[in-house]
Amino acid sequence: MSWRQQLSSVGVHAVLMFASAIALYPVLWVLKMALSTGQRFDPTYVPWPSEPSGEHFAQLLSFGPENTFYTQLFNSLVVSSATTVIGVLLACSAAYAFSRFTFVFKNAGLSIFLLTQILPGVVMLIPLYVLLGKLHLLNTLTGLVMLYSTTAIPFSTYMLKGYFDTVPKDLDEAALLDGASRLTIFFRIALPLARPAIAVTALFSFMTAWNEFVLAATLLSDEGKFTLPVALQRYVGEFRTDWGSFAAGAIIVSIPVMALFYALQKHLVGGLTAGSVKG
Amino acid sequence: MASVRFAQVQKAYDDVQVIQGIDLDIQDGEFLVLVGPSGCGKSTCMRMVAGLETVTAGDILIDERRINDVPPKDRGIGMVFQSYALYPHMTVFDNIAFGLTIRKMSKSVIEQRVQEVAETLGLEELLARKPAQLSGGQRQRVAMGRAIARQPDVFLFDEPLSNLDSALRVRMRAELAALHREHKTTTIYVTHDQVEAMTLADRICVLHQGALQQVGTPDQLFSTPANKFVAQFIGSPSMNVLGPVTIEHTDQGKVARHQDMTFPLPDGRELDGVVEIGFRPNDVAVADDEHPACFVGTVTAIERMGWETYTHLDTPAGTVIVRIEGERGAQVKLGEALPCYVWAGRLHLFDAQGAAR
Ligand SMILES: Nc1ncnc2c1ncn2[C@@H]1O[C@H](COP(=O)(O)OP(=O)(O)OP(=O)(O)O)[C@@H](O)[C@H]1O
Ligand SMILES: [Mg+2]
Repeated sequence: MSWRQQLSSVGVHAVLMFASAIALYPVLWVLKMALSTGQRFDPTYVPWPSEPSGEHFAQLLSFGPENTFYTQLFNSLVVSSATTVIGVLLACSAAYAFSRFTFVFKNAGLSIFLLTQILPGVVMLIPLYVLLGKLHLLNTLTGLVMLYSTTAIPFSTYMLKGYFDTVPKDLDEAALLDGASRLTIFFRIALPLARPAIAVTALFSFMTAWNEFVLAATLLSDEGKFTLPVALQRYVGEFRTDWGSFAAGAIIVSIPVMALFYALQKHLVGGLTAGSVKG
Repeated sequence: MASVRFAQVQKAYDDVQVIQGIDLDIQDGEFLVLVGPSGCGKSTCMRMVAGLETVTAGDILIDERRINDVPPKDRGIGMVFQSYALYPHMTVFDNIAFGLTIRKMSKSVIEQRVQEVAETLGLEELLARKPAQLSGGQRQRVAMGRAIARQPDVFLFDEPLSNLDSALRVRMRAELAALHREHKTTTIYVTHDQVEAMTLADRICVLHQGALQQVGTPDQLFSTPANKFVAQFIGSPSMNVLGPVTIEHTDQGKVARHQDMTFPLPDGRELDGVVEIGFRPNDVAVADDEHPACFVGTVTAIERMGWETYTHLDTPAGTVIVRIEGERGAQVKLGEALPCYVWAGRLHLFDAQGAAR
């Protein structure tokens, strides 16, 4: 490397480090809050606590009849996983049909899918509340899963259709001549090839469900049914705010998503570009 | 083993008629090559035989059994796609075995069949690889292997060699020919490549705008084209066609005349209605004492191919291409006025509809 290249490399790294610092500073503050003692934390710019302690984590994760955290963590996991599985399964088959078959209302169907994406979820809050009430699904995780998967399906279907469109039709036809049925082609050719796109959609569905607050807060009334975002919000009370526990909870909540991202990152890079080419 | 028959087959997409009632008999064991300009309906014909496209009207018969409504998998067809269409997530072995696995053959039979195919095509070393790890020629062979493995009655090839470089194409062509000699499986083969068509075909079928122009052996198509289209499509460089000509009687016999170009006509040919004449670049020689000039053209371009020289001449009838052999060809110069003689026996005559006389 010439000194010029070295200099430019140093420059690039300096800029990147500065940008990283700006992005990470608030996160460090959350960490600082979570690790401070009691409600006292010194309001200096130093992003680490003066008296570090793990008491907030210990309290949050303590076992005991009063502690609902584990139940809520379990609720969140169940809701998000169920949403992902149901959403991705339905979206895959819908996307394949949209990509490969011609049928009445095909284009209309795709447009309607888009339409549902245009309306913000909050607009539908009251009708949804009434609907779930009629179905006796208020304050149930089942109801929440149904809402989450139906909101995730349109986007997932678009994403996957775009991907299936890039898989050459020749492959289907070759398999058809090889004697495969449509179902075999779907499971043995289309799905394995769409793995990157499926990973992206699964991650998207999981994260949306995992982070969703408004619907959950409206529909769930029983503390034992809460998902984590709703539970966390309770720490920020009207009269007293337990910042320490809130920060500790926020950190615990973000761990599964980070882990999932890490596990799927290999597929994500391919999936994001692959899906973006078409559709 | 099977014969294939098209009986008044038509195909329309919405209102657009792309195949206009084709009648064609393909013998058991025959190698039939379909040629024609881009968009003439070659792939469509092929896909209708395979069952990937419905037949709008008429019948397709395999071994005299009407197959219009038979699903693709039950037609006994192996197809090689231009894109190869290998399953990218499967190994070469699984690609070749896929059709057999679907048909629930036993493991040992599959194993043995794939081995045989791999040996025939020289793929033994590659069975564990994925398609992405293969060269173009190897992929092509795997695609063929997949078609062969199921031991179909009819092979369909849609421009199988067009993605390969020319050296590889020549080699694969020879392998294909050898494969057909060995198995004698009825084959329909689409190509753009003249040489492929001429060397591989038992018979060639020329399509133009969805209509069948002529079916015959390569020699027949070359020496007695049925119409102007076939005459100009088969052979490279293509046949010179010029007109309108008038037929005149002179002391030397009958001649066709276009402005100051005069072509002596062979005896005993039906001359009524002839409006155009054609001759191949090969059937022209530089005029000399024994061979008086039929026309004189100014040299506008020269393509030297070693022993032969293709010379573009500007004539009263437009550009005419002639092939000149050896020494004389090497001496041709741009701008030179070249007197040319056309062998009377090689003249092709066409009427107003373009049909050969
Ligand atoms: N799905 C379709 N819808 C409408 N028209 C089509 C469709 N598929 C093919 N065609 C038309 O049918 C005609 C024949 O197409 P085909 O693919 O058979 O041509 P081809 O002879 O194989 O051409 P090429 O040599 O370029 O492969 C073309 O004019 C094409 O535009
Ligand atoms: Mg084609």
